[in-house]
Amino acid sequence: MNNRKKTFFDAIWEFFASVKVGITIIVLLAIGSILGTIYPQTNAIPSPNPDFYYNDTYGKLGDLYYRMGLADTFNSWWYLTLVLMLFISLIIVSIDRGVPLYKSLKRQPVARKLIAIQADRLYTKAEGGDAEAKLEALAQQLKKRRYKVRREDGALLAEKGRLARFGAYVIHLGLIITILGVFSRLIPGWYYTDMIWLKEGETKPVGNLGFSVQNNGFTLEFYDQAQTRAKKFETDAVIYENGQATAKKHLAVNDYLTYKHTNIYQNSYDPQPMFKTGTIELLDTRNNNKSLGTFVIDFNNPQREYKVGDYTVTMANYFPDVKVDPDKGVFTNSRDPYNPGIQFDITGPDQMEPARQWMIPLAGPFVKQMLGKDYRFDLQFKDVDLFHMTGLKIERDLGWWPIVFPGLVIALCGLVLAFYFQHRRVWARLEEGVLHIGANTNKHWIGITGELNKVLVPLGIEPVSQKRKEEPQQS
Amino acid sequence: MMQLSSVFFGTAFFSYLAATILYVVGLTGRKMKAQSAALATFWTKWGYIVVIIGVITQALAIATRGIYGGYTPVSNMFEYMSFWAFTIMLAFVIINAFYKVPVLGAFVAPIGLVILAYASVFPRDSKPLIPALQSYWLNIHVTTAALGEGILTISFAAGLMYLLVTTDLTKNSRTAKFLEFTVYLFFALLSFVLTSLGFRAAGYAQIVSGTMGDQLYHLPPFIGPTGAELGTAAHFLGVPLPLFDAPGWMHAADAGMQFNTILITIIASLVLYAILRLIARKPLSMVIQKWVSGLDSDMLDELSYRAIAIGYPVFTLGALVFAMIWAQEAWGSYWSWDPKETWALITWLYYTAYLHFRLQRGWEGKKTAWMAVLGFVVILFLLVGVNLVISGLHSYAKA
Repeated sequence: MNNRKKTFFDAIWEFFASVKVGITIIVLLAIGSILGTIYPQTNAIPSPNPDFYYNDTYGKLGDLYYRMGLADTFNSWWYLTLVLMLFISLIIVSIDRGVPLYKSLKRQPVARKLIAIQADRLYTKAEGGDAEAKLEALAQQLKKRRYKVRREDGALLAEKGRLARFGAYVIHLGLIITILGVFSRLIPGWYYTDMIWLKEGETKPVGNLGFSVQNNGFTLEFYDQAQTRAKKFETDAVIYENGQATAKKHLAVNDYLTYKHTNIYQNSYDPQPMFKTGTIELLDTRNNNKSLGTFVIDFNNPQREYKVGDYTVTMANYFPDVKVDPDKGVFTNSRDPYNPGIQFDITGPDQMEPARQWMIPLAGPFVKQMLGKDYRFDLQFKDVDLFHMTGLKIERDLGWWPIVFPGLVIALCGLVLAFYFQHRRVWARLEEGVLHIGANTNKHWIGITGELNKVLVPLGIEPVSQKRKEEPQQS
Repeated sequence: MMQLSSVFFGTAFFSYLAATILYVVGLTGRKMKAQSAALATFWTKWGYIVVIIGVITQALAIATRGIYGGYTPVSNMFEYMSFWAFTIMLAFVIINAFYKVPVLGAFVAPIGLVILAYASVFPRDSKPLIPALQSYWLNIHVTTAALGEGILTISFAAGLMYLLVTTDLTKNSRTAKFLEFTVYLFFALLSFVLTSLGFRAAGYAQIVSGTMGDQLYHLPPFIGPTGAELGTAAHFLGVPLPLFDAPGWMHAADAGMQFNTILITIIASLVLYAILRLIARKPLSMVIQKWVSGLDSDMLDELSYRAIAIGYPVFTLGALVFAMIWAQEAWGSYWSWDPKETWALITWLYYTAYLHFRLQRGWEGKKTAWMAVLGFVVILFLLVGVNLVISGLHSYAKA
């Protein structure tokens, strides 16, 4: 490696090892995240046209927000760059400080310099008596308190909870793994997400994952009569692979199905119902609305012709989701029977010439008037069966269980180590018949003071007390 | 069960009120007479006992409401905010047992009290859970997150006390101004609660029509919805209302109503502040400073930090990790950048920055105390602001 390259590498290393840089990244991420919550992000808006949505809903400011790319903050190049910088910083900081700390703790001498022991925040000495025996007793007592005790002649080092010193680096490690897990979504095949809308009985393939999902019945219940507060919505789902039903589950919110590492969730339902079947009565308007009989229409698959008594009802035109526009005429919005409109030709014994007329059950007075009203017959719904489409969410995220989740657990362990555990050390040294005892902890001085005095007092050694005020600093 | 819960709830409320009075009396009385030192400890000791009674009765209130509704009552604003007040007082009871700083109670008890009162501004009926919330994770995630937020609130109280102890309020410094403003903000929240509850208790209701539909006001409609006819909706103290309408660019149908609430709160809080200021004849922060005079500032600094050191892991567990696990179970994605979870992340980043400043850059004293105080504002926004200002996947919590 030549000199110039080394300097460059060093510069990068120093940059990311700096605490200032680390804190700056954290603060910038926080500020960036705040920007991303001002207006809903594009993935959360109820419109497929963000170009218009922000302007229409939030005015000029919303439009500016969208144009600046803030409507997709969390996928923007600068946000992802910050996350990447955080990732690099976490790795470099942990190596830069964790490794030397590990080495220094590993190499620490048992016999510490007397002057260092005397300078300890907790310090006491025992003069007279059998100092050697006291040292021995001290070692035994500390061992009982789960200290790791090492001895050299006339010197003692007792230590416990060394791992607590690495708490911060364990947190960093957990976060590194978590971020890796998040970005594992970029590996081809590791991440797939989709929303599937299914009518009753309908089957649709799940992406190109090689299986299909079928809605075998959807139930919707409300707490109240006005149907404002949903109690439950659930789908009987069946998975088909190669024509075989391979799995089934009664899906509910919070209760999903896992099939071949792919999760299928009950996510939502279409609040607007569709027409399933309807029983329709044919009435003769010229004869006091006398009933001429009934017939049943399947709106997903209507017949061409229906026999009603002596009359024949022929379907001339079918618009499953009819829209009547003064300028554009009559057309259908979709192939889903949300608002069916049917044009019938009706013939019978007293009606040789087909009487053409509309039937639009959800039509308002305006549409009715536009399409004509003085019909020969009247078509009345006697009974109608509606249904809701179920919305299933498909989520295949191979990084969650093996990477993200363990990363979070490790980070939590690190938090516990860093904040709830302490690294305690006790040194003792026998010098000219005097036993010098010093102690140190990385936090919670009251704890170690109490613990040490429980050991010292029975041995007839003067208890320790803190020299300075408690300082929480971690070293 | 629901009535029993209300009784317990009321008892808890009055316990916190009594504790606040006991603490404040104990502290203001402290310096007045020579023999009052012992008396002060008597008052604050009883304050602590009353707080414990309040915490126990509120636990009973939560439990009975839970039995009635069949779920841990943390599913709407009333339930959640009162639960947060509960965790604040609980955290105080535990931390005070270790640190023995009775003065802390004079700050925490009013905070808990006002948050509890604020909770009762929201509709109090227990509604059955919508499908998204029908999961045991509701209990685990929300309660743990609230506990973390409760502990972090203690850090705010201690940080505020630190600033009061160490700032010379007689000098016109920026810190002094900010402290006075912080005290004012407390009274602003109090005014909001008092006006809301006052007009509600009086049964005030007024429908005002605007171009975007009718709005039901529970406060006098000084500001009408966009397009409302001025001076025709109501009279308040002889003044025909509304005085003016919300401008059209505010868009939302209830913008006028929200604007109106803010205006009334500001007016009421300024009146309340002016009255108290006239009685005290000096900045209110100076009055409060007297309570904390003589306290060990290093101890307060340490206490503020310790509360964050304890609360931060709890918050991480409850508000982020449990949240992610539940999101994975219910929504199919552990992270959706929903405003609530993004703000939980922002709060987490904020306290992460605090810990790095403190442990790595050696910040302590004034700087970190200010960070702890501002942290409360961040939490407040996470819990209240997000629900009221921003909508998202958590929007069921709006009412």
